[in-house]
Amino acid sequence: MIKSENKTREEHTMVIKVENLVKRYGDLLALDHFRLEVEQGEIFGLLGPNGSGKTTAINCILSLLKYDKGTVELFGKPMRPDAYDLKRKIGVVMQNVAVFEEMTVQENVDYFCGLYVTDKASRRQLVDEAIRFVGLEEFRKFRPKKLSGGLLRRLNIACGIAHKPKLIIMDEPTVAVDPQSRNSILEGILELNRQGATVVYTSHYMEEIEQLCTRIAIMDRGKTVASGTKEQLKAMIRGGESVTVELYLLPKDQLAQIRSLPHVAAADYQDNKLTVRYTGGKHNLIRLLDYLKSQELSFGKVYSELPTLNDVFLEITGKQLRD
Amino acid sequence: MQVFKAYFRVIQKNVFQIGIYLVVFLALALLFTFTSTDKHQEQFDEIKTDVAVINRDGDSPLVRGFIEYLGEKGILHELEDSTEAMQDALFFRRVKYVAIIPEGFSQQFWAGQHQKLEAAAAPDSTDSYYMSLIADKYLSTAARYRDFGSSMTREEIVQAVKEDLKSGAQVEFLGTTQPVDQNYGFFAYYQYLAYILIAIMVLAMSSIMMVFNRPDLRRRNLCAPIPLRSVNAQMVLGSVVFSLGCWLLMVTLSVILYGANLTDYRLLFLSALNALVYTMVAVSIGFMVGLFIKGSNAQSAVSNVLSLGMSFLAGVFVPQEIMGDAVLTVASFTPTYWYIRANNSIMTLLDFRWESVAPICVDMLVQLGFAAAILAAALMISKQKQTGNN
Repeated sequence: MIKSENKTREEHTMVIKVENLVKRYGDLLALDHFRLEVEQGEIFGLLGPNGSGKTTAINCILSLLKYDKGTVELFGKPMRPDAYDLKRKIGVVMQNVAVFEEMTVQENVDYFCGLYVTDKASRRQLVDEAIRFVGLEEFRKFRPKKLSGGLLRRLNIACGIAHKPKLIIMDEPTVAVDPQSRNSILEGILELNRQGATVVYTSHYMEEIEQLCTRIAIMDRGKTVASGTKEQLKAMIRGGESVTVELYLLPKDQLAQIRSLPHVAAADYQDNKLTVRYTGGKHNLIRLLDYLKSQELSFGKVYSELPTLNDVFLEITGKQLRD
Repeated sequence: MQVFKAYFRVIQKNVFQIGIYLVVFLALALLFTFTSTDKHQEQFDEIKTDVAVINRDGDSPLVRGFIEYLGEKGILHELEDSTEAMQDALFFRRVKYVAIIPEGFSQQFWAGQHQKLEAAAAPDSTDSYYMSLIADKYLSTAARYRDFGSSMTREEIVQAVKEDLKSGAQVEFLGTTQPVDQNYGFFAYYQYLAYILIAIMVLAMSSIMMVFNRPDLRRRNLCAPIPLRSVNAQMVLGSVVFSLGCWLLMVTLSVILYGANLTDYRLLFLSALNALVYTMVAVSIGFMVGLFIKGSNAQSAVSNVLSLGMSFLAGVFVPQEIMGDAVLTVASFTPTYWYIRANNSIMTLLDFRWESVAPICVDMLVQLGFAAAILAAALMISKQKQTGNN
């Protein structure tokens, strides 16, 4: 009985379910038994270096690409090119700006919204809301050519979300965007999520993914190499936080004693800087500073860095995310 | 109908470029209309030859009547009575025929003695022969009255001859041949329409195709809950409305420019129908070309090369009658050739019986065949391209 209830709950809350997706371009295996599960209300991050298969995965999920094997379910139903009831619930923000150069901002948003919403009155309201949401009220009558890169990206987003979709798929929406516009876009995505939309966000910017996403899947060579919350992902790796202390002097004996402190994975002293990497544990920084004081070693600046998703990726795949 | 509306937004963006083509076309059509030489002269004008009369007989009713009659039938010039002046005038073709009335001519004529007129004519001139006949005709008619109208005075005879010779032959064209000269501007307009229709349609269709085939826009449209066939149907509807609009505009302009002088409105119907069929051909060519064009530079070049190339080859600017057989054979593989052929047939149409109109319908059917074939090929290529993208 409990199992059955769980199953029903799962069916209701699972927005995307992809199993064993295989896509080949000739000899190139673009997706290698790719799996993905996204639950309702999540901001799900799909992280991977360029060419890892993120966009191919998105295109397959949206039925824009035929795939060789596997299944794609959205909202519990199989996704097909003619699944218009499903498409109605989806909003897409493409990697490249996909708008009509011939139309104004307002006309563009109205065009794309009109593909989903036929009623004119409600469409007008939705278009106004979308334009306000991305902050393009002053640019309603502007044609895309007159907009800056950041504003153009915002228009691209407005075109994708105007019809208030339940699932928003954003494929690297902040590529080549200035920091100010990027922050604005990221805040907007959080707001959309607060309003109830499930968001799938692909990027090769780990900072964005860390900032936004509740769960993350890391992709490499067409498959998911790890997935979970960012804490879960970081817990997967041996390396914990890293502490750097400026020291004018550190005798070898003290360095050896630091290496023997609890949870220390490695300690190194170079160019008047002591770098200590931990495997985990709590209060590592306090313990280290207490030790230095007890040895009457005077120190300058102190830095503490938590492991990043790049560290996770590095440890799992042996290469940098931005390779 | 979002796609349909977007279609016209894109067209609207290119309306200036299309407008330039229209203005150039209208200017060309008007220019050709007003400067064209009348190649199809079908009205009768009596030839008037430059003549001179040297009168050595003095004034008499007969001589006066004769000179007056020659003046009506030709253009009379003064000429000095000298051999040198006569030779000069004939050599330099100031006159082509000189009638010399010898001394005592009237007296001998009324006496019943037949004295021939002396005459000099420009060498190899048919006009002089004609004037010689005119002179003989006058004198022989006067001789009839002299011989059989004994109660008439000389003045009365001259007057009767004058009245008789007034009645000339009434010239009428047999059949119902079109007065082509009157409709020439109209036909020229429809001739040049072949050029402008291809240019405009290629420009418009390729503009549309370039926009809607942009990969990102296409993907975004495919993500929407709107069937592909609905998108295609709206685009087809847009193309139909646009092409019909263009056709209607062209036909309306032809009516405004030439309607008042048009001899038969059935000609307008046939020409407009032929243009409508050719518009369909132009749309299918535009659709095909649009599949391959990626940028506006190529668009402009292809539009000009296709429209001008086909026009020159098929006889839009040069009449098909003076084109070589080999060129015409090659041209027959273009739809423009059949459009022009139909237009030429309409231009020389004698009547509107089915036997006369049928060949024009056949030419239109051939054009429809071209349109269907080009469209089918374009759809196949489009389908293959889409499959290739996947």
